[in-house]
Amino acid sequence: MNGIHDLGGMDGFGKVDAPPSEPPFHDAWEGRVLAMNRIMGATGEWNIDVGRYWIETLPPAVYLSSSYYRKWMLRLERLCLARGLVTETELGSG
Amino acid sequence: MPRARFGHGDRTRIGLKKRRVTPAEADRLLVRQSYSRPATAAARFQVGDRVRAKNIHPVSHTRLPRFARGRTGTIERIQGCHVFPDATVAEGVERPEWLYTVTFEATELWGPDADPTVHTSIEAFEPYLEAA
Repeated sequence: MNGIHDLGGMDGFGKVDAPPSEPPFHDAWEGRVLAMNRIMGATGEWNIDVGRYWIETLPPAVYLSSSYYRKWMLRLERLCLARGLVTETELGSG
Repeated sequence: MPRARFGHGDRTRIGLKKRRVTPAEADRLLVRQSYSRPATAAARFQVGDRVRAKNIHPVSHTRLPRFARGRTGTIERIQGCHVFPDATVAEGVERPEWLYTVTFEATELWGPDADPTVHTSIEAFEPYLEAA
């Protein structure tokens, strides 16, 4: 799809600001999101390409304003909802 | 979107009914699996061939970036046969395709004002390409 993820050649984002060193996670929840994504990948419910597609289909404004692991979290929520693995109520209750 | 179960190469997926995973299993399951697959046909292109990226706009997933569509480049390397992401997402099937490194001159991608010494390479699956 011609989504917001396909940024190659687009101007206006400024220079890439890559710090020389950075912790793997900026907060503990990011590590939990990584673990949840990897273990759901291991179930065989979807593969890496399906996962990528569900990040690409995030609304453009959400995509651009969400951090890396926030995108992973939103992707996991949407996939689990779409596949009937969780309900909105369950997501809301934590 | 079609529903499919995805295997993990020679690893066994855990399935959703099994609730507990031992640390040893987790080590095995969480290593990123290979998407390389045996070839089912000979590669259509060889190193040095001139190819054009197709001007396609699928509504589903694709790994062909917009900036390369319709542009002509050169096969730089044959990367082997790998699971084709577009078919996985659109059709729910695992269909291996040949994967190539294709190199484009900057002027081909960005026009006459681009730096003529710069090249850009993409990894392109065979269905993205046609002979130029």
